[in-house]
This record gives sequence, C-alpha cells and structure tokens, in this order.
Amino acid sequence: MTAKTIVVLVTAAVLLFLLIYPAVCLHAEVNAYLENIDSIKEAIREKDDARALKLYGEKLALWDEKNTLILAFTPHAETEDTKDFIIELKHCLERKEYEKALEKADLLYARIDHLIEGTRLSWENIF
Amino acid sequence: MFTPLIRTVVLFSLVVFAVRIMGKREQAQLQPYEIVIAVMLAELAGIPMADMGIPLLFGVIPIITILLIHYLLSTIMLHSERARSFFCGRPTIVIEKGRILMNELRRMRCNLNDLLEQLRAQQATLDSVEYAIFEPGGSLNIILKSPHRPLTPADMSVTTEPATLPTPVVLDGKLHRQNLRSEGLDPDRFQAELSRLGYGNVRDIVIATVDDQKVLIVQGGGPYDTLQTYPMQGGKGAQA
Repeated sequence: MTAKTIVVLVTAAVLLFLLIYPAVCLHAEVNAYLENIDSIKEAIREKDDARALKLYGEKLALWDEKNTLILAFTPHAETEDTKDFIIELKHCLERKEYEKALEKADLLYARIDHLIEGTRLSWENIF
Repeated sequence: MFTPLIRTVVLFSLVVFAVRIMGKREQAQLQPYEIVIAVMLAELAGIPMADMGIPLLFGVIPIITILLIHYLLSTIMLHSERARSFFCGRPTIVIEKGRILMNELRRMRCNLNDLLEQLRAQQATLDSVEYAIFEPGGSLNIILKSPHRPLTPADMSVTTEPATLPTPVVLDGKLHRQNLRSEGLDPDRFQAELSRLGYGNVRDIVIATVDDQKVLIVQGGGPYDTLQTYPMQGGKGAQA
C-alpha cells in the first residue's frame, strides 16, 4: 500500500466522520431543542410565565453559543433567523402575551425542525 | 476579520492537498472529466471563502468528495480500458497516410480551418503530415512523412553516448547531500573537489550538477561567473 493510498483512505475516513457523526449528534441536539420548546409551550398554556422564562433562560437563550454543530452544518442566515425568533419569544413572555408567545413558540418549533430537515438524507433534499 | 483569513487558509490548503493527491497529470494535461473537476474545485473553494454565511463544511465536504471520486475513477481507469475510453474518450486519427479523413473531422465537430490552425501551431504543412491524431485531451499530435522528419543519429547510423540525467547537488549555495549520495559521491570529498576547482565555499555557488558520467557543471555566484564544465576525478570525462 503506497503512502498516497493511505492518505486517500484517511481522507475517506474523515469524510465519513464528517457525514455520519455530526448528523447523528445534530439530530440529537435539535431534538433536545424541540423538546425544550414543547416544555415552554406547556408552561405558556398554563400561563406560568415564570417557568416559561426560566426554561427559556436555561434552554434557549444561549442558542448560538451552545450550537456549534448546528452552526457548522446549516447556512448561517437560517440560524440567525432562528435567533430572531427566540428573542421575539422572549419579548412575548416578558410582556405576558401568552397567545402571541404560543404562536412564536410554534413558529420557532417549525423553524428549528426545518433546520434539521435540510440535513436529512431524502429525495426532497437531494433534488 | 480573522474568520475570512482562516477560512481562506483552510480552503486553499485543502485545494492544494486535493490537487497534490490527484497527481501531476492534472497540472499538465487535463482529460475531459478532469476539466470538470478543476472548475468545480475552484467554485467549491471560492464560494464559502467569500461568503461567510455558508458553513465552511459546505465547501470542505464536496471538495473531499470530489477528491475521492477522482481517486476512484483514476483507479478504475488504470485497470479498465473500457472505463478509460468512456471517461477520457479515444484518440481520433484525422490524417491517415497523408489523407484527411473528413468523416472523422465531421464526427469531432471540427472543420478544416481548425485542423490547419493546429498544424500551423506545430509548424507543419498538410503535405508533410503522414498521420495527425486528436488526443482525448484536445491536443493534435502529428507524425511527419519520413522525408520531412528531422535527421537523427540513427538515420546516419552514428553511435551516440547514452543520455545522462544531471542531478543538482548544489542549489542556491546549499549542498544537497542526499543527491550527492545518490550519485555515489562523498559530500566531504565533493567539497574538496570544489575547492580544488577554485570554489572554496559552497555558499558562493549558484548551481552545481553532476551526471552519471561524473561530469560536473557549476556556476559561481560572482557577477561575471558563467556555467563551467569539469570532468570529475574517476569520472568518464576525466578518462577522456
């Protein structure tokens, strides 16, 4: 086996790692966010803004700091948009606008779900 | 502002790495599929380099994929004649025994002006060409009729010395010990030989080469120094 073959095999292994590992982790990470949004929605429905804000602070506020994987695998414009949705949700919670907050949480859920949807292997994404 | 710099360094290094792995053929003569690869590599590296909104991996993953596809294709083509002709095409003879094959020219969507242009580029005239072949890479190679071919020692039945490969042993004042050893020379003895010839310090030499006949060609670093040829001790030149 020549040195070049070894380099190519290592490169192929790197590519496999780049394709498989982050995709698996990314899905886990995003699913955790979706669950957090569900919890926040539940708190909003119960009009428990204190719990909703606490959950927001713990789970969503540091979205862009904690999600290095999401940032690495999705267009940055989409993650910026998601950040905007998160901030809007916070404002609604602070103003106790429960209906609007619920609406924003739904939009945020769809937004984050869309982020991961783009990384899934499917015919729709290929074409 | 360091982000674009780092991204550029990463992508540039990756493309250089990819071209290095793809081998020398890419740089010299591109096959049709290699032209596609070259264009794609440039685009794939350029877009994430300029647009900070695109994740770096969107450039890295396709470049690595293309590199691997190329490696796979070249390995397949190394073993399969059919794959080679499918991906690279076949050479097309357009002049055979001095006759232009119009059907072949038309099949290649090539007109007589194109053919004449290519012949002129090779400083050949129609009547002097025995064979002209369009290679898959797009170049035209010609075989001249025997009366138009340059005279060679073989035509004259003259015996010539075998060609020699000069090995650079000093470049820009630096002694290349490994090259010296590959020529069977001892670095210390070589430096002594240089001193004997009036080159006291290796650092003052621009270039020195040695060939298999042990002929030394050397140029000093002085403003009026020119290339000088010396037979080395024990070499063929010395015997002569």
